[in-house]
Amino acid sequence: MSSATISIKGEHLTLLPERAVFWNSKKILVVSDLHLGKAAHFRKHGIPISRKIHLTDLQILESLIINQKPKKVILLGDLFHSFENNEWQDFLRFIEIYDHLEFTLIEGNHDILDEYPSALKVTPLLELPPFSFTHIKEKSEHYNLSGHLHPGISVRGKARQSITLPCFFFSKEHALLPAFGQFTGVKKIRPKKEDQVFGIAEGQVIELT
Amino acid sequence: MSNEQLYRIAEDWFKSKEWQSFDFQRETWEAYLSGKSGLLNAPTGSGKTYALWIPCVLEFLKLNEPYDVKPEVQILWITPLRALAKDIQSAMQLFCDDLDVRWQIGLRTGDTTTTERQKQKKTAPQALVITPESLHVLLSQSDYPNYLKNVKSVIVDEWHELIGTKRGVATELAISRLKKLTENKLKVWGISATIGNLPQAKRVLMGEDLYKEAVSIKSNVEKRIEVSSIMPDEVEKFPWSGYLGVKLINKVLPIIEQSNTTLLFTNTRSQTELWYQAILKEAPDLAGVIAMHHGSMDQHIRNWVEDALHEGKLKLVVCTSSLDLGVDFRPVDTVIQIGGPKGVSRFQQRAGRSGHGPGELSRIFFVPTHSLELIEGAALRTAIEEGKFEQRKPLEKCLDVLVQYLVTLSVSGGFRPLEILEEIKQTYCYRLLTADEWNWALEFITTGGSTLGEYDEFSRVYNEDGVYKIINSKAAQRHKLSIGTIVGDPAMSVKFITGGHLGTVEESFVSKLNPGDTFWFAGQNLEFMMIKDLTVLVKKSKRKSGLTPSWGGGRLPLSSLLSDQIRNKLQQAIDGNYEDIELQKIRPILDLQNRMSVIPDSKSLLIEKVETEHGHHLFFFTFEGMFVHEVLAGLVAYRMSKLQKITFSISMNDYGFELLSDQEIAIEEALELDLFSEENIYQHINESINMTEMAQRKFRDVATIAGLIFQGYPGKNIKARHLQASSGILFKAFKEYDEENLLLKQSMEEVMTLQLDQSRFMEAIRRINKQKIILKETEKPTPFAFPILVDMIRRERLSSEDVTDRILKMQMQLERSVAQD
Repeated sequence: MSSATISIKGEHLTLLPERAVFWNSKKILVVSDLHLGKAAHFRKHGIPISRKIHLTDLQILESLIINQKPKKVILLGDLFHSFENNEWQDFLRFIEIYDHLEFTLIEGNHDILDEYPSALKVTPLLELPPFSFTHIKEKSEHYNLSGHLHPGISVRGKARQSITLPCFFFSKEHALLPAFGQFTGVKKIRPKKEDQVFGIAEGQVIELT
Repeated sequence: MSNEQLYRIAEDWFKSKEWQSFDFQRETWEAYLSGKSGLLNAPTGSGKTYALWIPCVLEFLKLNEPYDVKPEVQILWITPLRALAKDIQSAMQLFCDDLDVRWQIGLRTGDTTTTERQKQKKTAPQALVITPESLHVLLSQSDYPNYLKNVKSVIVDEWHELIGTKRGVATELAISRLKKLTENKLKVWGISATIGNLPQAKRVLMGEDLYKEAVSIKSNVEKRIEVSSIMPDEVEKFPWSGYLGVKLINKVLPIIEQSNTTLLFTNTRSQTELWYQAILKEAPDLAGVIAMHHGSMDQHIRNWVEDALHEGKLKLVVCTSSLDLGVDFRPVDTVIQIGGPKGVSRFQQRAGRSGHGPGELSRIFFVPTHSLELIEGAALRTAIEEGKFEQRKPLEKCLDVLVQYLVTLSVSGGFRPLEILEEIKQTYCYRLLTADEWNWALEFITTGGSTLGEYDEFSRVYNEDGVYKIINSKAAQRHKLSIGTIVGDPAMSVKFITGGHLGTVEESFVSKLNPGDTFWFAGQNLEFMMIKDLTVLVKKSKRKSGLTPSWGGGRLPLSSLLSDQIRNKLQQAIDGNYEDIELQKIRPILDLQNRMSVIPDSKSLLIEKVETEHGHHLFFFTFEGMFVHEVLAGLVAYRMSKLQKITFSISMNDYGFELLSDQEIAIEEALELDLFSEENIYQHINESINMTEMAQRKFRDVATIAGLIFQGYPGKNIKARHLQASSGILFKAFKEYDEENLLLKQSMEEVMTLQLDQSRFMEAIRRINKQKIILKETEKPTPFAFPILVDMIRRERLSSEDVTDRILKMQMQLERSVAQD
């Protein structure tokens, strides 16, 4: 496993191969697009997707919490995929265990639940200078971090080879986080010359130039 | 009435039309009226419809007065193409009306309106012309047992088109249900053009319980076919690859000119659009008498074209397989085929669209699109002269179709498993279904398939006191809308902004368009305006240039019969026999191949090694058709990847396959280790299927048919909220968390069985093992290699390197955007 670091407005961000960002000075862990409950939503509609898929998501989140020791976790939207189902209980139990941490949900387009537990702060926008956090990219006086897109990048090489990888994306004013959830796909992005892109492959975060 | 009197009625009717009845028609009437089932082998345009429709009506007249008609469905006439349904319906109605038999012939296809359906439900017509899909939709309605219990016979038209497909399997299943449902013994009849495995075709259609007693009838109406290839003047200037063939347009135009009405067949819908434009540009005077016909065009436009064809108003129709089947257009006297038809039977069928009268000659012109295709022209002609036909192999144990069928029965009041099991064991497809597989299917629709409690909250079908049913009405509705086994790319309808529906294009094409872009569709240049409610809104454009949509489906693989013929033709050339004028024509190309490398004879396998700017290439010329090559290439790549850490890009065409790598490929070493050995061959194929995307591609169809992927319903306002997931994501989820899922296994097996039957594959392997391997290192790609190199059909990748190593090694050519964000 290897991570990468990037410096933005004087702050160091660690890009983790688990598809998460760690803000070093503030000890904040940022993950986006978990889409928990998607498997159960599919099951309710007759498509058998194992519940283990989201338990794995939570296990990975847990290992991140243990290893990085954050004080605060920001969930960058699309935490829960659809209407309430059993898998929501799995998440509630999870944040109960880690009740010493502050969990903030930046509301995403999929987050349509009526009620959230008091342990989970819910807001459409969070500003912690020099950063602003939204689910969908937004113009801001601060450097904006968002998710929503599930960004992926294609790399081409000789002999007509190519690979598509989930990625972190950094432009001058904003960044995109990869989707954290296992049960999600990627949407290819096409960066411009001045943008920085980090692909994730086999437990490594690799800067692509 | 006695049978003799009944035949008299039919004969008199024939006379009144100034037609002659044929022996095979009378033979069919007799067999039918004596209660038999059977398969009728007769070509289109031979009077096959009346061979079977007449006895249906005569049987009624035997016991009833013509006006003594009850609202009960007596006859189900299954047709593969909805475009055919209307013509068959009117032919059937004509006979009834002439005899004053008060039967209603109903039409039941995807195009039938809701009002019409309601009417049919209230007052059943005596005969229904129906597609396999619509028949399954009928089976999803709660009153179907009552509605269909009086059916006397099921007649499956164009069975050769259905057998070998999942639609054929759906037909088998529907028949198995009808046999038990009907109060009288059901008669099952099929009509099929000639294929290489007619006895098997009969068995599959009849089912295990019926095929032994069923009869086979063959029409004696033979068609004479004249095949001519259109030759380029100078083969040296004729392209080595490509698939358009418009270079020969000036040789094609005089043929059209001299003919009454011509059908010009292309292999793809985009080719149709391009040829249509090219012809109009070269021969503007044809405007008004030229039309286009393909499956993505609006039904009304297609109907208009068909009507105009009947009436002899058109000089030329540029079309795809959408006009392969069915009723005859009498004015048509010439058929032109652009590019290799990939199969002898398909070519014959197309040829048969011209010259209909008994004894008349069918004329077909073959227009090659690149040099090597000329060999195909010679091969086709020989195959036809020798009277050879392809086999259409039936599918076995399609669990996806079974799952869909079981859910269909759960929607309409539910089913008892043992009853249905007994029925489906009589079908050819599921005759060898094991208890485990059956139980898995039942589990899959009730609990999701796993007993480990990983599928809590699963809801699809409930077991209520031994009856399996669907309770949720929304789920039932969604299932009804997704019945069918044809999986296409999601399509969007194309409409003028001022109104008027033009047809459909695939979403993947639309996603590349920006407002203001123009594209050719149905022969018009259209400007893309916007997307609204899943509809592409366009206006006419005056611009001369535009994109051409590419529709999925792509090109068909060469049949094994035709591959054999092509190998024979090459051998002929090596033996110095240039009798075929096509071979004579491409002799300079063959000579060049010989100078640069060699022409492989039947005793050798040619492998060419060449380095270009792209990297290191290996070309294997096995001449087995694309499907065999896909698997064979995977196997070879897999075995080589065990010798060195390497990444391959794989491509193929019908003549051979290519392995391309960024590093030198140790082929000499690999050959010493016996690359084509039969040892562990299935295991190695499985591994290679796992390492490429072959199985995942099949899974998309399998998962869609089994109801796991919702394609969306164009025009139907039903949303599948939050249920979108690509087949790739589902495939990964199953692979990681439910590896025993039989749909995954089916996808793997379909690569092996659908794509190539194993016997054909092993035959190829054995042939290769007997051949001497000739390895040639060439300066440049040879005439044989070039088409594979530039066409890049179906690229697969297989790698034994670490992803990270590969990324670091790649020259980081990021797909960056040039345009503004």
